[in-house]
Amino acid sequence: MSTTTSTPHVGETHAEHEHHEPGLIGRYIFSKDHKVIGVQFLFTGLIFLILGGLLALAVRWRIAWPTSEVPLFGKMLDDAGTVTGSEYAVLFTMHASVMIFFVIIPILVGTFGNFVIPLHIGARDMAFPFLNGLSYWMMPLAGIIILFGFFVEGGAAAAGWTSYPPLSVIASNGQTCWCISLILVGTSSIMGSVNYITTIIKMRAPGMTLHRMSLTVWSIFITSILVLFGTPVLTSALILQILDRHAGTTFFSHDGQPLLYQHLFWFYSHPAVYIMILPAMGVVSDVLSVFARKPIFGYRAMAYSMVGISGLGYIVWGHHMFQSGMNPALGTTFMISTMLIALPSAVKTFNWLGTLWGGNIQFTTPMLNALAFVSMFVIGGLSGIFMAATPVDIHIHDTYFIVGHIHYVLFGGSLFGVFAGVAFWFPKMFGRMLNETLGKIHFIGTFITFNCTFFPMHIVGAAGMPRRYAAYAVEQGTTNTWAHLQPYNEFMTYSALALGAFQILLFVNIFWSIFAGKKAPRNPWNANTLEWTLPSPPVHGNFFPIPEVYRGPYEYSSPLVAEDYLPQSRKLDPEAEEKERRMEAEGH
Amino acid sequence: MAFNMERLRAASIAILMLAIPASRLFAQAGEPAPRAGAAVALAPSGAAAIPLMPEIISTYGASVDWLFYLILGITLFMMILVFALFLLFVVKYRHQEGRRAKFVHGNTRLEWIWTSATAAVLLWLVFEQRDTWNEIKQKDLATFENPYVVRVFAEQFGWHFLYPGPDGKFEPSDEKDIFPGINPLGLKDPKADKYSSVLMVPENVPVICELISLGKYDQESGKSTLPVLHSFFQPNLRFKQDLVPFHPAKIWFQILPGTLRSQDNGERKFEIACAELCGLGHYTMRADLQVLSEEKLKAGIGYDWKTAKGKF
Repeated sequence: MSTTTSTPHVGETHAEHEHHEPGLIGRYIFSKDHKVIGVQFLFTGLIFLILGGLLALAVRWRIAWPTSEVPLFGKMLDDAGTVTGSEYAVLFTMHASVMIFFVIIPILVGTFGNFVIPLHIGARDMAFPFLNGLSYWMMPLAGIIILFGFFVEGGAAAAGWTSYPPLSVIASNGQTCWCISLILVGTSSIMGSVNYITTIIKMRAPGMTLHRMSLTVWSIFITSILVLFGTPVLTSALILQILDRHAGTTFFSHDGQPLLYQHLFWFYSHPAVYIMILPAMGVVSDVLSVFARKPIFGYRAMAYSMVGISGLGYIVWGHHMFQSGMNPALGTTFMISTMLIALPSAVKTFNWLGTLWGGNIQFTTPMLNALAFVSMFVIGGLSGIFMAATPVDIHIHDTYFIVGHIHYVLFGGSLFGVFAGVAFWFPKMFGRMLNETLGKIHFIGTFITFNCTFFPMHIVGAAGMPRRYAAYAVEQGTTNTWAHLQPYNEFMTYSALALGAFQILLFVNIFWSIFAGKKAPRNPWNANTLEWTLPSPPVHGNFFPIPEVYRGPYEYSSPLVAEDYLPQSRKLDPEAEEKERRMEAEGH
Repeated sequence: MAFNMERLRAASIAILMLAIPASRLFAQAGEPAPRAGAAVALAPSGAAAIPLMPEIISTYGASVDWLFYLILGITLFMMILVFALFLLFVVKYRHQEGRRAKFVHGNTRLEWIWTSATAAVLLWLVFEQRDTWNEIKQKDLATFENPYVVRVFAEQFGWHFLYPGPDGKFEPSDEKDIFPGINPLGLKDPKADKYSSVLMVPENVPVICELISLGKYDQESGKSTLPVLHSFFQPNLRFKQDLVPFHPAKIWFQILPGTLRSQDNGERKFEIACAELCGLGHYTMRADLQVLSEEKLKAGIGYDWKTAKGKF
């Protein structure tokens, strides 16, 4: 291993004089250190992952066995211990809200954004450390408020995670908790994104040009722009909804415009889908390159396709509203833009394939999860084309086909991206290695049970089985079209239970390894980016001195050096340097 | 209608056009060409093997299914291609001690080709679906000469269907006149129109429905709850449309001739379901769509709809 950055020596810079050792609370609770805040986001997200997962299992239990008692948690439900139809609406609403706003966004954007950005661009911390801490502390507060909904009269929000009015306007008090909570989460996201954008623009180390940034940093940069322009729109829609609920206004209800809310909601929430997938794409690109021991294929196409996704991402929201009563002529417009947005995603997939081609692939836990991301994203991306086609969407809209699609993107995509990223940066976060065997068992179990849980959803969805139904066989509908699909539903529930059980391994691995894992060296993966030149974990302030950056992050298997990696901050001898400059000019 | 062999052939040719340059390029790059031909042959047959798309009973249903299977063919083909390459690369380029990965940063020409090929297929899909969408959702309903008309009312959690009666006109209604069971829609003269909790329609005649979302009226307090969103969904029709409160919408469909089979005895039932979350009892909001022969329809609604010439 060779590093040119020196070990920290205290008192070298002005910043160092300002820095004084905080106490235990200052260091681990109200910390302003970006690394600690990243880990805080991670743990908060993992706690909510348990909660969101249990809610999902209760949802699946009800679909498979509507009249059987729920094991272990039955006491928390009604007297008989079964999930009632109205509890079911609460369960799927809270499952989606928790997973989207308290698991995926905080972990992908909060954890990886905070932990990785300064380390990858060679900065000592975020541009606004206090704002960063504030952004984190908004999140648990918002979490408490949304969960408080369970204890208010009428129960927690039950109008779906989309919360369309007028239903949400007449819904129980939990809906107000839901709105306030989301406004806080949104504010947290906005504060985070301002910080990320400023840090990336202003605080890059010398030599770290935009085109030498890792794709993780690029992805969070673009995600932050999406957050910054999208979230205020959702926030305003939520404020209007609260006014409709409590102040007697009629923005979305009475003779107001229910569709206006849908437009405002999806103007944020479609970009939010990209907020939930772009950082995972960035993380996975980095992981693939490191473990294929090969430069990323088409670096600029990778970065610019994300720019393309963010631009197009703002003009496709109407595809959620094809059947909403919106002017059908607009349907055609949104269909065209939606078809176009498939293009950058396809480009990225081909480039990931190109990265694997000719590599020397190491199957570590982060790599396996990254490979799962690519293959599952292919299914999730391709199934999106069905609903982009307006006539096909007429049939599959609001059916399980959509539920299958979204889970292939958000679990098969985002969550495998999270697993890959956590396994990849774990040594740098905690100074310990994760257990590889446990990691691999968790991966294989998750991969198989995930597919068994979500793939059949496409099949029952094509049969027209509607989502958000607490039962498919009821007395009112004499034909009960979907009752014969019950064996599928039971199979999916068995798989979901197994999927949930495998996540226990994830938590065991993380918490066992933090205390008893193998000590991590500086650069366990022989990776190029700047964080791997630092001790694991890096000290507060990271770089002493700030490193000089000579090249992009993906120079693996370069002919200039004997090892198969070439760190961004390593200075080559003059002859090799000349060669490198020539290669760069040739477009390498 | 749109489902014929020529289109299927055009689809296969387009898929081949996509596959051949890709396979050649990988052959150039020193890799074995993927067996594109086999994948193309597999895609349509694999698509037809899925048994779960429900029976079609509307005139436009076949063109929706055509698009579904077309997209299924293309996406299955792409999935097989990508997964084949993926597995090939992962196995062939697995880590071996002492081997060095290729030091390649990209290939501009390859990237341009796969980008434009994907764009071409996506654009083709854009044009392929436009007519079907316009036929289903943008049709000028005034062009139907003697359509069968029904008003569809949705409330939490049930459906009501109103037929114009022998005079062909719908009665005015007022929520204050609502009496559940007797006059559930609050019609001025409940006897002038035909009310039913079943949607009864004839075969092979354009049916126009007006979709209206109702609040629930409480006679004691004299107040009604806010009407909410619902969605009229009938999978066999391949049709779905949300009901937006205060913004009634008109939709149309036509039952395929032959939907009534000889064993059906002149009547056949399908399920209408609400597809937009409308409250805690959303899943119970179902109704029957009944396709009836002329005689049974006359008996069902109590008058001859052809002479009544119903209008909104």
